[in-house]
Amino acid sequence: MKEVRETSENVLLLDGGNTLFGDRLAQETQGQAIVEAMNLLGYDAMVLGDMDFWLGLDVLRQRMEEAEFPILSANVVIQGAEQLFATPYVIKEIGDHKAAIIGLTNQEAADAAGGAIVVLDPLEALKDYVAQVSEEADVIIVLSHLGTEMDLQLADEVQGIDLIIGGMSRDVLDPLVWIEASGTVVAQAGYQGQWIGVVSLETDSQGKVAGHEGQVVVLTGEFADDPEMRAFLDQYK
Amino acid sequence: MRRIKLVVLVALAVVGLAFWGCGSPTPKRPLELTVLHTNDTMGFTEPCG
Repeated sequence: MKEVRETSENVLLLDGGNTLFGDRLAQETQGQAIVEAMNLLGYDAMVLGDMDFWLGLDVLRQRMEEAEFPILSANVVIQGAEQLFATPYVIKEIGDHKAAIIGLTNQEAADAAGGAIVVLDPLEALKDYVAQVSEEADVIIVLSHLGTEMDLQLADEVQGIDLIIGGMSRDVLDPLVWIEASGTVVAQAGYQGQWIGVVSLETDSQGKVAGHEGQVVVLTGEFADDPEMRAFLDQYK
Repeated sequence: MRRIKLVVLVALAVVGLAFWGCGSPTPKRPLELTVLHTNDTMGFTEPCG
């Protein structure tokens, strides 16, 4: 990450969900250590996945307040309240461009939350929000925790999306998928932090994807531990 | 009469400039964007095994 940030002018760091709950440290700290680590790494946005709701809504809300980045979902509402549980999208200024990042959560989140939320149709939610953000942003990124099959359907049925960063199906999309008909790049980078995806986009002056390339990097032992992150994690041993 | 003609000409010039400004969006520089992404990390902070 540091290497990319030193060599590239415009960088976003995004997460496709199912991040805050799972392994030992996440469970023992109820996701707090994970949010702190993500703050340290400088994440720009994350989408809620079903496993994140295993924390329970109260704890999850607390984690969302502690996060120094938006945790998104455009299609999860509180049961009986018709109110979105999370921020649906965020607009990031990048140079003289604006990038909208819209989050979509999978249906399984409703069960994970014990019925405290309702998960709306992600396709319809996306159509509504793409129409809304298109007035302001010229680059549209979808953070999707819906699985690759659904991501391909979104790219096919919703015009105007430049990039879909996926999750849930835990696919390693290398090479990434390019949907020429819609001009959409679809990417996903495995699971359990074993990989990190790198997508490079070139857009024209109107914000349309004019070039793309990407790879999924395997995080082997060849990568030395970052001293700052090592020191942070060691305090939990 | 000459003054009226001058005022009308200036007014037309101002209106013309306004329409020209509205119809000509300022072109943006092409964007080069790098997106780093992760997913389903499930709280893993150390390699498995």
